[in-house]
Amino acid sequence: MKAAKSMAHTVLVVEDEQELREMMRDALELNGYAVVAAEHGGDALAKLPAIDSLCLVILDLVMPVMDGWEFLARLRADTALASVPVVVYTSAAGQAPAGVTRVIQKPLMFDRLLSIVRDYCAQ
Amino acid sequence: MPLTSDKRPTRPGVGGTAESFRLLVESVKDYAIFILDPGGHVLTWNAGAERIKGYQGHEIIGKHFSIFYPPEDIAAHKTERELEIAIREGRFEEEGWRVRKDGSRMWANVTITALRDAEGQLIGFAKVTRDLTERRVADEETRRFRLLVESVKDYAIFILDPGGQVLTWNAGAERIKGYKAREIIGKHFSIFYPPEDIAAHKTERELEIAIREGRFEEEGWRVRKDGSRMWANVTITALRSPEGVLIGFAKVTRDLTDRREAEESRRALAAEKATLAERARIQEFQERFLAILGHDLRNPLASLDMGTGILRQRVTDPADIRVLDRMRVSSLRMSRMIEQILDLTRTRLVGGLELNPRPFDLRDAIEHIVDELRATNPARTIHASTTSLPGTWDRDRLEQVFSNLVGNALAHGDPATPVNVRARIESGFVLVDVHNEGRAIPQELQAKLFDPFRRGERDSRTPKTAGLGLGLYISNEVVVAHGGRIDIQSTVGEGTTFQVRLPRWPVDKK
Repeated sequence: MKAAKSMAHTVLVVEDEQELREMMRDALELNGYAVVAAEHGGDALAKLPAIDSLCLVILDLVMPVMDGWEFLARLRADTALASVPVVVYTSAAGQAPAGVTRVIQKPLMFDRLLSIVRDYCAQ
Repeated sequence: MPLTSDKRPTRPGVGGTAESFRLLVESVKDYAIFILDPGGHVLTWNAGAERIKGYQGHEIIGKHFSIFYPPEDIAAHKTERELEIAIREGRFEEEGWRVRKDGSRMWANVTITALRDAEGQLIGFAKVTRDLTERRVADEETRRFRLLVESVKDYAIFILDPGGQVLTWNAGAERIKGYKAREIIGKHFSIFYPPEDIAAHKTERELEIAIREGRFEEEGWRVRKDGSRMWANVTITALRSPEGVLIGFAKVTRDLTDRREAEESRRALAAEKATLAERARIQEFQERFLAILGHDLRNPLASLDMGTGILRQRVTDPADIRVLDRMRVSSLRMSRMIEQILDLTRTRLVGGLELNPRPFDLRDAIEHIVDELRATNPARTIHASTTSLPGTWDRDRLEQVFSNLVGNALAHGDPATPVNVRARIESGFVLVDVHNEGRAIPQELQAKLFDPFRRGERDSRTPKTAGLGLGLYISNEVVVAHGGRIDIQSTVGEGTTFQVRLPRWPVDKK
């Protein structure tokens, strides 16, 4: 993992499928963002304290160990992180979990990913 | 003149004939024939008397004949009365209980005849007794059996003559079939069968089988007097004399209609359960299918698209860039197709398309779509003229509809002419016209335009990359789910107009 602190802002990517997770990391890093990647909600919670300048969480909902809904509830319960923007991408339209900043439909394509991150994070 | 029990002729003077007669009487075995003196004492005894009553001659001669009577008859002076009647009327006859030597009772036919000499003087009585016990037992059995059969209510039990005419009838037959005995006796038993069975000679066949095999049994439909049908178990048994001659048929019928109905409702219940289970199974399958389409299929597509996106930023060779651009167009197209397949699947599923209606101004959505299409089709002209169109709908779904309709107008219209989008409110409905110039849609194709996987409209002008032919189908489903409809007008002179008609608020659909 590249050092999260070398960039002004950091994106936390929570996705259980490795190939998609790594592809998102490469795409974002190529475009000048710092990325912390986690494979489920529990992993993300464990990595959160070490992240310096979190600008956005990109969150899958259906995951093993700890799913997106539970992670979101715990994140929102933490006063320091209660206002961090969270984007979820789902296969079912319309059902936004509480505390979500934005819902986008799967598949999360390259251009869409970059345009969303651009809205919340400085390169 | 006293009579004795010795071997002298009973009628003196008749000679040889009298002797023969005495031998005859003595040897008769089926009747007890003996003589009583005027006081009722036994004077003679024959073989029949010995066999029937059990006494030897020497045991009984000289005893009073009351010894053959049950104690209650003796107490009631029955023996005296019988002799009095015989004396007065010459003869007494009855059937009644008598007692054998071993104390057992027998049912006997008894005649007592007064014997008088030439002067009319009573000289004794001739007593003839016949043992009818066996006949009486048989009669009693018959009587009881008849009573039993007649009173059985759960089974129709009756007899047919060899030709199939009803001879007897019981309470069960009346209850089950509805006929009274007087209405049915003498009628042919085919009256109990449905017309189609009679026409098929079923009754004859059943009797033939009973004759050939002794018995016929089946479960089948029969007809009651009131015309209603019943499901019955029927047995027909051939009745034969001891010599084997057919004398008729015993027919036993049991009404199983209730049982059959119970079985049928049980079966129907089981079938309903199976249907519900099948429906649950299909729903589970559909949900799994949707999950695969929505999740499992789209994630690798996102990876591929990101991979080509990353490479597209890094490579510099124009040939590599061309390849990667084509790959990205393909992955976007595939993403749209998965979207359409998902929508198609949702429309065909339990529950149908799900809408998330919210209040918004449809003008904003239409202008957004038109702007997007202008950006991707810079060479074309799109005119949009709409007033404010507030209402409650699913915005994403309606954007999908207008993107499809305006996109179609651009794809199929004359490229030299503009596409026009006009929207207005008219008596509670929003009407949006999407119009293009150019060739008309053939009449026969218009009817099929909203069918899924259309092939008809594909002509030389249709891009090969057009998709699955699901766009109009899904657009129509979305509009219909909102309680609206899409109308088409297409003529050579005036071009083609798709008109979307939407109620402004959600319609309560059942």
